[in-house]
Amino acid sequence: MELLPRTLSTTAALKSGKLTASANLENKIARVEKYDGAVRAFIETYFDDARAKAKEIDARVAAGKPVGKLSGLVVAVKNVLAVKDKKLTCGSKMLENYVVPYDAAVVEKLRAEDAVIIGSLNCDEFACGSDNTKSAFFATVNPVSFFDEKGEFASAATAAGSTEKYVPGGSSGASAAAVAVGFCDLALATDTGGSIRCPAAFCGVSGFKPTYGTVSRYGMADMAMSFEQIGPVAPDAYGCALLLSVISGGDFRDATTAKTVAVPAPNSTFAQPTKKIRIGIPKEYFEGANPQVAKAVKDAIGRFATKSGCELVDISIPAVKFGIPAYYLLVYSEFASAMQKYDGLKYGAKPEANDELVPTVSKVRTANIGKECKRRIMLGTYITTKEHKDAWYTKALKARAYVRKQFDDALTNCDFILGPTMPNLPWIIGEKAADPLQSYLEDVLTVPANLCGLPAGSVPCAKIGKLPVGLQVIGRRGSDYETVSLMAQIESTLVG
Amino acid sequence: MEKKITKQDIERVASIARLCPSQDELEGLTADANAILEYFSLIDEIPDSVAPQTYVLSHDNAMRPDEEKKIVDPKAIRRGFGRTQDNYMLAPKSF
Amino acid sequence: MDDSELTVIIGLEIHVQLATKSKLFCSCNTDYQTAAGPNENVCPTCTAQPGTKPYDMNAYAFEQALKIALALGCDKMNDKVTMQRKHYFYPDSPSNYQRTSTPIAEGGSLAGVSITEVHIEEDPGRYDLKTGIVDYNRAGVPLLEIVTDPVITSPDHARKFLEELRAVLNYLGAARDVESGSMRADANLSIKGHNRVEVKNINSFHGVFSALTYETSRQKNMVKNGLEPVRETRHFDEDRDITLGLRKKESVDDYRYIPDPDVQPIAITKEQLKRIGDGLPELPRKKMERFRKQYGASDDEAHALCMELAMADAFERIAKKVDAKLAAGFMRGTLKKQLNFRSWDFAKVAPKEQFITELLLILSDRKVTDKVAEKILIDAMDGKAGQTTAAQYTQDAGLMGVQSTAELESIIEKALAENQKAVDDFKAGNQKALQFIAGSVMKITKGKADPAAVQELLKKRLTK
Repeated sequence: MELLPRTLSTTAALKSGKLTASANLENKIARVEKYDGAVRAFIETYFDDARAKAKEIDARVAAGKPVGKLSGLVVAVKNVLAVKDKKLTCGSKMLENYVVPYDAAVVEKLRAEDAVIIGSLNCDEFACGSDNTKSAFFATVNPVSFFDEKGEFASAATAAGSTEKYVPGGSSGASAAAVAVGFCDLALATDTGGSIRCPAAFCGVSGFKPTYGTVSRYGMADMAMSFEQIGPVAPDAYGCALLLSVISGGDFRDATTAKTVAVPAPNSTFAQPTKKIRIGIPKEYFEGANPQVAKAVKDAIGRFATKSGCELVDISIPAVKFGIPAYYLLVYSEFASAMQKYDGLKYGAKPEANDELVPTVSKVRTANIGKECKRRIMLGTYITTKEHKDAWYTKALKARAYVRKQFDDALTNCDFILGPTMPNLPWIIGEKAADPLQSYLEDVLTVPANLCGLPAGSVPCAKIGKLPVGLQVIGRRGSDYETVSLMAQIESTLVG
Repeated sequence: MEKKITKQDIERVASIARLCPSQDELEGLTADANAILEYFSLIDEIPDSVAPQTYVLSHDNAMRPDEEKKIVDPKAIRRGFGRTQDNYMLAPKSF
Repeated sequence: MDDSELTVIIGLEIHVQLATKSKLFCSCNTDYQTAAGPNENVCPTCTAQPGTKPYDMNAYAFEQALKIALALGCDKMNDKVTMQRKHYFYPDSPSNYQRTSTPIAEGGSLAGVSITEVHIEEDPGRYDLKTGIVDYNRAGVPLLEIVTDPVITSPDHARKFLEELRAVLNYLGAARDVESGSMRADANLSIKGHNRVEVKNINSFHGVFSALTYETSRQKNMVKNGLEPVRETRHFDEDRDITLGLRKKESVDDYRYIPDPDVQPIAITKEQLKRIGDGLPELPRKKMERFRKQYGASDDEAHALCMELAMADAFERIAKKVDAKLAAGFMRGTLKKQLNFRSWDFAKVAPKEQFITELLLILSDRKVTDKVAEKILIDAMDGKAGQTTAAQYTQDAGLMGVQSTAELESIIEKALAENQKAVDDFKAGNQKALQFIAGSVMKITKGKADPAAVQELLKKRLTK
């Protein structure tokens, strides 16, 4: 397989001057122009702005002036993150032409550290989905669909004609796809129930969801406020760690970050084990999974354990089975609340005719919000009405507590939990369209980290045919640096 | 699950949520709601005595000083308005 | 069935804007009255642009809320307060939900009305139902909601409660626009044994009285005619002073409250409460009691002086230099009359305290009559006195000095001489002629003469 350049080597080349910011950007632009017709990752490209920024960085470097931590790295941003004066579509018709008047906190940080922002990436509408087929605009295709037997990216013409098109995962499918094809060095995406880890696993790249409250959500369009975090997608764990160090830290514009400090940047000993660790292998993570996936992940863990000398412990977390119901019930409730703001009056899609107030709002919402989002709004509204709140919403909060306790208990006896990221291999685009519940069940292994606010990431560990398999690492709350470090250690064992 | 969700229930919910699905869509949504909540009623196995987890983090809310600061040019906010009238946003009347 | 058998039960939910520079959850300016135009004091957060979150809460706003709760005598203070989302679709609400807190405090009472609870919430923007125009300058301004028990018994009772509330808020300086009378309230009114009706959209102290008067009448009439008032939410029309039923679709029966995941619980500590409690000023009721004892003020006088802290404080300083009873009478009578006439609060009054003190000294020295003193006050409030002292102004206007009896008698002779016809008319039996001559005397003295003394001397002279 065409190996992606390691983040460390790109940053080294940029630092040494062997690679200029402009040259790095032009490489990426060339790949976008060549392959995005097939992959369809971008909503909007910002080539002019990016070129201006790259030029400005190169001038500063030439003048010996200081540059930021991400200087010259090309970063693409999931289109639920506000980039000032650019479209913030969230993959929805409701915001198809909405130009957002401010930068997300994380985008402010990217700019301050001299990242070169190349464009906005497709996603499932309002982050509601696990395969990026629910964008209102188009489906992003997993780049592995276009790799031939030699692992070379086949031409777009060949791709369009003959290969099966696989999902890149979701909801940040395009973010992982963009990194996988080299459209950018790093991507910034979001993870509410697995939306970074799933596509990272499906596209064969690394992705990380920080501990809840680590990264400011100011500027991230809400899907489920108590579940989601913004996180990095990169060719490797080092790239994840680098981007994480820039975006993390307290922000008075997101009260949940009040007690957080920025995660330190990866240092020279980053990928080295600091002490002997205990790793829990929950049986529930393997029981329901595709046997090939389960075996591949078990083997990868085994190889790592042998090489690193860490201790593997078989554990059981029966509460895993409550994860999907607890997650979705609360997500529906928070999502319905988050979506109230879309009424066609202040921004976004306009009503077609000027009716009375109630029908005007109802019609514009119905016409411009997609099917899955509407389903979630309806269910969220239903379970938070007075008659049903106790049986569903409050009960789901109890289920959340229940799942959290079991995971916290497991993580007192182990330092980390390892298992597959996804129970299945990437499916063909359209395969899971019919039954929403089938789609939901794909999230069973990723939602616990969101329910519990735990840091969790995915690294590529194997391939079944040409389809990538991801290995998930879950750490204790607040152990982000250690978790990404472990991801790097595992990577170096497996990639070799 | 206690009782089946009816089409009327879904209609009422749609009205509260300001959505107006077609008859076909209503039927589909009703079927989905029943199937999904039927499966999710799995959580009834969890004892009621478990305390609900409302907040993920345990810290108190941070407070900020009472300072005024302009963030963006208000024109940038107004440009998003669907309809305007002399810098007012124009919504449908309700009288 | 007559009126007296129909017991009226009223509860009020009063929304008071807290006096802060910035909004509750963002840093926009809160002074929407002086904004450059509609939708100027807005930002991504208070217009609910996608992706925005509430900032850390405005600390000063929360402190003011605690101050008011303590001043209302709330004895049960909660140690944690959480923000809830109250969902309803309406153009004045940018996110179509309002952030409103769980009770900060419970218990307490004012003017004999017990308070259920107080909590803090965001003000929505302004939406005009008739024209459809929306302005978000006000969206996000911090509000304190004061909920009374349903123990108010009449519109007048409500007015007395609000008057005292207004005074308390004035003393604390924690609320805005209290003097201008703008505050909002929702009212619940029922006739005992019958359905409760909610009235919304009351936007002034005066509006509360009008709305409750109308609604009491409306419901009483229905009940007297054997009709049951519909349990509903009605809208108060300020222009017409009536309440109107809303269309069913627009009233909300379920707000689907959920805790706001973006705001962590807010802690209230005992230290904080002690500090704020210790810092509370002497409140109106206590001050009135003290004024009665310390200055011998009557109930009326104490009440008038103590409704505004600035006036009460000024009175006490003036009373150090001038007879307290004189000062109390003058301020409660003459001064208050002029303030009411101009719809001014004392803090805005034109004459400085020094001017009033001096005027009262001149008055107590009997160098001017009550009527002249009133005229001088009016002139000063009309801006005619400029920077001059009271004594100087009175002097310059030729109004200084009340005539002695001897002076008056000689002026009376002059007036009689000038008005022979009126004298003859009086002697012929026309009593009114006396007033004509008295008027002439007043003219000669340029109004300085004491009218009562003129009457007495004139009568004596003419009936000699």
